[in-house]
Amino acid sequence: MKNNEEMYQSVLLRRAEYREKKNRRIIIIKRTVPAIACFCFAAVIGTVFHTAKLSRTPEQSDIIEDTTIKCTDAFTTCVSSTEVQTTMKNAAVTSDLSAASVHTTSKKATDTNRHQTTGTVVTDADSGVENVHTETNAVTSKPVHTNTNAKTSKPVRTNTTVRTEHKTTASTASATAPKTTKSTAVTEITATRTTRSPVVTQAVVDTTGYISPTVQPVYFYTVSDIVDAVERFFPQPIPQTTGTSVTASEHTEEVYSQMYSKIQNDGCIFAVRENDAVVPKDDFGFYLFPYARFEDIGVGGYAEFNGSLYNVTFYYTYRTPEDDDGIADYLHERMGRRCDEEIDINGHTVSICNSDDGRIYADFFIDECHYIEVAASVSEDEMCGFLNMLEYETINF
Amino acid sequence: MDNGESSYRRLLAGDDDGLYEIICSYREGLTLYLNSFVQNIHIAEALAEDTFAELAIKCPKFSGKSSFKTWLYAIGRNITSKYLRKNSKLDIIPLESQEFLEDEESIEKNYIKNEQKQHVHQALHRLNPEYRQVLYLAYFEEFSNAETASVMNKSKRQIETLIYNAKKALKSELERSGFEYEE
Repeated sequence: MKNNEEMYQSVLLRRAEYREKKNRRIIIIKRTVPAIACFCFAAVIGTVFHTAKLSRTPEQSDIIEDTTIKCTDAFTTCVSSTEVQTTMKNAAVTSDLSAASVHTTSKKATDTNRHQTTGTVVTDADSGVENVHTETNAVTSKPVHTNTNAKTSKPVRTNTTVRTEHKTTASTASATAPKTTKSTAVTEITATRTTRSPVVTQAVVDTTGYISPTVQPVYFYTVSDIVDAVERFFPQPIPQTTGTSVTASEHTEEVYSQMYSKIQNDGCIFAVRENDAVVPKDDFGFYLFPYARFEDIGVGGYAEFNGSLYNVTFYYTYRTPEDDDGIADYLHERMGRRCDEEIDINGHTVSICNSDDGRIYADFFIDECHYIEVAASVSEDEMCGFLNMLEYETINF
Repeated sequence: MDNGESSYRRLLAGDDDGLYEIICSYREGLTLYLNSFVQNIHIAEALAEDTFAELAIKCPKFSGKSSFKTWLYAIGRNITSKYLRKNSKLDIIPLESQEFLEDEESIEKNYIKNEQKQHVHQALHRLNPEYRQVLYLAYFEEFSNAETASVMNKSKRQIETLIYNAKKALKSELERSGFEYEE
């Protein structure tokens, strides 16, 4: 048993131990808490900055150099593929953002349309399956690669090929049109900069000459959708940019605006009329083709005749009634196309062109400013039979 | 204000002599009281030391609503309750407990001078713990019913009933051991 003195000393000893432990604990807290607090603060700040960086939408001006557009022309073979590669100098760009940016650009340009296709159209004539393919490579400190593929069941032909080379930071562009040939022509548009400038060289537009091939056809479910879109179109002034260059979105907007204005000014669209032999395939949908190097503004659809599928497109030209050149001359001058044969069907002079892959193209004027092109994988006799039975109607606005 | 309270104030002011005075004044009584819980004088002594250490280290606030002794005993009871909760499965009395009796008797003789009271205190060990505690507080520490109620954390009415029943139990226990007492 302890006496009072022993218990007193024992209590004092325990109190001293407790105070020593407490002081040690306080020292540890004083040393570790600021370090932990700094670490947490740095982590929070880093997370916030990282999140903010990720959510930043890349600006158009970040696209600075090395724009390469490769086109496999298939005007004569009806096989076309387009790849667009864009090198961007922006470390924060993510693949999703890149894809979203591309999509937004196209949609903005055609806000009057309920139905549209975006991206690049690749047509396989044999299978009749259309592949819409857009590829964007963003080479940054974190390389990003976006590859978006979309497939529809409707064949569409695009005629785009230009070889252009840009060697300055400004918008100097020179275009070399490919020669008309029966074989598949591969051309390439390469824009190369010697200095890193935020000015975009991809979509330099010379409105007096040929137009960049990046603008794609617009898909509609029905003819009434086309009428509705054209009627609702209201041309808006396109903001002028500094210098002679425009951005891709401005170029797209301008081309689509030009397309709708032309159809609106002409005041009508054309469609295949159903009869005993020719049945329009409305469930395949319709396409509005914008003005391009190898394409006039047009309304395309499909019709069936004797079990074969025919692609019928009504084109709008900028000819004047005074122009008395024939269809073959017009196609040659306008797009460099050849004419294998000219035949007369129902009072129309029809230009026949046989492609290497077995498809046959027939073009003929229906009035001074409009012509029809029929394309199908049939024989010339079958094509003539179709043209004999082909009837169309004019839908006025 | 009793001496314990003034000593505690001095302790709070930093004078360790106040602690020594508190230990001298209350060590034996508190140990015997806590022994009524644990039935082991050495454990009771350790618990008493814990009680004084609680005062010295944590310096709890004394409000003055009761006497310092009552407050100190209540702290001791709480500490003992914690101990018993922690060691509830270790309530087996060891074989060497007989040795503790000598220590207990010595502290008993020092604290309880009256020989008759010493007999009664020894008889308390054979009672129910609550009877033991209430009789010790009421008759050996001479707490009032209110103070006893405060220390044991019970109502005054409960303490009265407990004392009544404890007295009856003690009476029968003393009769059984042949102790003669005056009515």
